[in-house]
Amino acid sequence: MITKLWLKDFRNFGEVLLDFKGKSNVFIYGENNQGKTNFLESIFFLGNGSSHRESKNENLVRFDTALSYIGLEVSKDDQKHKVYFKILKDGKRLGTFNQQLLNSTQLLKEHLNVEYISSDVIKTFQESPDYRRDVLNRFCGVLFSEYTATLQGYNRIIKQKNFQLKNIKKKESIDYWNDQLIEYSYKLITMRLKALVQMETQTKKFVAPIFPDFYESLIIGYSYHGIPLDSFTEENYKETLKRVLGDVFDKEKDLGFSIVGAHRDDFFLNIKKKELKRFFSRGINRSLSFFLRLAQIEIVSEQTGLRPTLLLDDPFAEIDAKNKAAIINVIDTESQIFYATIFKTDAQYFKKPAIIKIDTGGVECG
Amino acid sequence: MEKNPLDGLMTQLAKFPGVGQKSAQRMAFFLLSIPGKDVHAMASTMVDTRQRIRYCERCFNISFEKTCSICEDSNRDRSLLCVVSEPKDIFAIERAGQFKGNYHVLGGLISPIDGILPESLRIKELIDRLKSESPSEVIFAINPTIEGDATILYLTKILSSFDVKLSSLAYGLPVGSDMDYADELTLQKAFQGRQGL
Ligand SMILES: [Zn+2]
Repeated sequence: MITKLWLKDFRNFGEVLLDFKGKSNVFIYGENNQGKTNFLESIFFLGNGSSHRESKNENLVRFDTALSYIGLEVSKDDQKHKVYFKILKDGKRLGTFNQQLLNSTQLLKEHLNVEYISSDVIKTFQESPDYRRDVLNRFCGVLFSEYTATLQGYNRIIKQKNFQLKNIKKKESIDYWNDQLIEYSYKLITMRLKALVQMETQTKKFVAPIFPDFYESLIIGYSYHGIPLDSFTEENYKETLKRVLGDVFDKEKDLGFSIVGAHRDDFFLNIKKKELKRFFSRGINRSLSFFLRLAQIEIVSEQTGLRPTLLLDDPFAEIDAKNKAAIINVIDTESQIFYATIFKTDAQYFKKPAIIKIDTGGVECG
Repeated sequence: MEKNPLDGLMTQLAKFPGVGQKSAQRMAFFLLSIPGKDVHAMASTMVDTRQRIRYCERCFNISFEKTCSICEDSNRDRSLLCVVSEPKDIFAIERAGQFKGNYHVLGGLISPIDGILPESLRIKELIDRLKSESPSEVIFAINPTIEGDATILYLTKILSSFDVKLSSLAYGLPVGSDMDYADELTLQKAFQGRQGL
């Protein structure tokens, strides 16, 4: 649990020193554009060694200063640890953990599991398949040790195949890329399906107390782009993909890029056989997308044994008061929550939170 | 003001793989510290080697002669033909000392990104050798990268019409690792445990 936070010249903040007095839940309120997201960002940075939204560290340093300091105190199993980062205007950053210089984020990740969820979570099922594949690839990358290397190999095959398609003389020249594409695609999808099963199970657990009638019929499924497949077995998948790759050869040649395989697939969430995005309200979409994200965090935290610190950046707009209360109630009480909102009254959903107000005057704890 | 008199030398030395500005400077000062005739010997060996080196007409290994010493060695087993990507792979395999057959250097691996298509490799020459030398086994000692696997898949298909056993090394190496760095024991095991294709 994070017990203290110190910011100096981070983003729009001057110097801020906060003691959460052992309170697990921290409620942050303030108007838009006063720095709520910046505040959460500082905590994310301390837990992960980088920002969740800004790739240029120099933009994190307050405009008229040369460097910024941030730090926190975290207590775990009755031990207190201190993390500090110094961020310089040239983009360099220097971190310490209990005064030991950090060479990688390994040590941080062993003590902190900081995750950020904003209102953007609704994009999961609103955006194009690329977006969802990124979500799934990231999650599988954390879950399975061999996933990232397999994905890199797969992407390399696709890149080589696309170059070959642009210079093709004989149809056979594509075979030795397709043969590999089939192997790697199969490996990736095997892991993706395992991940989706876990996601479905965990999402259902979260959904049950709030939308009991969704529980039975909630399905997270995988869609094979352009491949008619009734069941996923090694033989079935590989044979079908091989046949389809043969069928689409002329089309791929005309287009100059590869159009079937794991890089084109997608996943979906259905309730009562109806697609979430098309048949349900934005409030429901938001709730379920949130739970899907939370499910991923939960699964990883069970694997690492490290409870998450959740940075919630107003993720519950469009959700009515009753459901909002219920959702916050569902979020594991063993997790620490930093909840930022423009609605001061949302504080009522938390049991004895530390309350922080952010406005033009700065950050106030009270 | 005179510019640094070592600039020219350092620029040249920094062209070596793994040599940065600091190492280049150290090497430059080293060259100043040793007798002039030693520097001359080094430089002339470089130029001489570069000028005299050619590809073996049979296997495309590097050689000073028309055919390389491995091809010339009558004690080597002509029924085993090991296909590699580059001459440096032969050196790695020879260091391990397990393999006693002959080699064939493809001159790269299939990689359309780099403009290397099957036609750019010495595959026609390999087929000619299969016809004229009729080895009993062709062993692919090719790094298990995406491009290496593509090359093996391609060759397997092309060579399947010949009456020859095809096998590839059983690498206990992580994907993408370079044969050049494989230790000798690993390479010995890889040859012993080679798998038929
Ligand atoms: Zn030779």
